[in-house]
This record gives sequence, C-alpha cells and structure tokens, in this order.
Amino acid sequence: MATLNATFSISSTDLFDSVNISKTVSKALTVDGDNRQGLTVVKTTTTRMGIVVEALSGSTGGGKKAYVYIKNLDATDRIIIEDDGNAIFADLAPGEFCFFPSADNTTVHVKASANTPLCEYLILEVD
Amino acid sequence: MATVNVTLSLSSTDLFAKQTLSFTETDVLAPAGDSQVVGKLYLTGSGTEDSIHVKEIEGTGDKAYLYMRNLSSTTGEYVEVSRRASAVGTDSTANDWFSVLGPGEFLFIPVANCLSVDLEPAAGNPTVEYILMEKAAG
Repeated sequence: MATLNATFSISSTDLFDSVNISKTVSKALTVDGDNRQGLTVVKTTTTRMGIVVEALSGSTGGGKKAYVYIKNLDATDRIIIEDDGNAIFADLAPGEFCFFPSADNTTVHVKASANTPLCEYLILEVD
Repeated sequence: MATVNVTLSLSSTDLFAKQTLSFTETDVLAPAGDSQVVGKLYLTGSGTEDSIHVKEIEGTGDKAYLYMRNLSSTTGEYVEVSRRASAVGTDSTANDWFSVLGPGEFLFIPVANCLSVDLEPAAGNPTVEYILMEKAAG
C-alpha cells in the first residue's frame, strides 16, 4: 500500500463579477492496486490506443478504479480521451492536463486530433 | 474572457521502490462560454442520477473544464460521475460512469462530448461541490 498526496488549487478574480474564487484542496490517496504505471510519455496517433498495461480490475469504489493523470505535451494538436467503450469524455487542448479517479473502465484510450502529439500520463490502480 | 489559474501537485515517496514521485503542473485557463457555474449539490441517493447543469454545455465539441469534490467523509459514500451525452432532461446511459469520487476525493478534467454531468451516490446523500466552466459559447 502506498500514498499519493494530491493537491489542487484553483483561483480567478474575473470568472464571476460578484465572487472571487480561490481554493486549495488536498487529499492523501491510498494506492493499493498491483498496476502502478509511473510517469510515461507516448506518441499518439489519430487511432485510439489503450494506455493501461494490465486491465484495471479492482473492486473498490465501484470497481476498476485508478488515479489517472494525463497531460498533452503538444503545442498544436489536441488529445482526446475515451473510455473502454470508445466513448469520448475528455479533450485536452495543447498544454492542458487532467487528474481524475477513473472507474468502471478496464482501460483508458487516448488519440490525437491530428498528427502525433506526445501524451504524458500516470496510472495508479486501486485494488 | 476570464482567466482561471489551476495548479496540480502530486507526490509520493512509497509508490515505487526506486523512484520518488513529485511534480507540479500549472495552467492558465480562459473559459469563454456563456455558462459558468459554481455549485453544491446534496445528492438524492442511490438509484437517482442528479444533473449538475441547468443549461446544456455548448460550443464545438461540448467542452467544459470541470472541478469537482466529494465532501463526504463517510466510508462507502462514493459518487459515480458520468457524462450526459443526450439532452438535459433525459437520463445518461445507465451505469456508464467514467469516474468515481470517494469521500474527500476530487477531480479536474476538461470534459468533452458532454451536455451535462450526472452524479449518483453509491450510498447515503453525499454533498458534492463543483465548478463547471464552459470553454466556448454555442
């Protein structure tokens, strides 16, 4: 069992006229799955590719759960994220990143909007 | 156009025997959609999907930045997060969630192909806070 310390901050003074946003949240996440994929960079294409080496299979929190970080390293093209049924649920513009607990999917697919942008990712399975 | 600053830090000393994990990512977002929402929902309960948005996400690709946190501290009160690809007012695909937020957990993700986001707790009535920032106007 290992611990992943995650902290996220969000702030804005002009998203709303009447309310400023400034918040930081932190959580010590327990990682106890047997599939721990450290920071990796892959070259994507317009054909979807699974980025999970071993199918996610844990039973905690609804099942097949993993903490996932993905960043689009490209300066031009987008990276599209799909579930294991090939349904698109996220889209990373150049330089954008995401962090979320994936669930109910044996893998996560990524593909390029065009060309071959590099994708950086981290996947940590929960048992 | 608004400016939103986001920062993510991940660290661990025991994930890998030979490698310490520690990095920080920052980004400056410029949501330009006509729908920006800060919300807090007391979820109805298991068996009911609550939608977080009163207006459909629009713009090319139906994209929005989503920050969300499950405020519950009760074991078992995890929240299933699914995208609503059909019109608001109709149900998303049953049991086809892409994320699960355990008690105290959060996510940040630029969602796409998504008219809204549905939430269903596994148990209890956890509270979820969120900021939804539409990327572009429809």
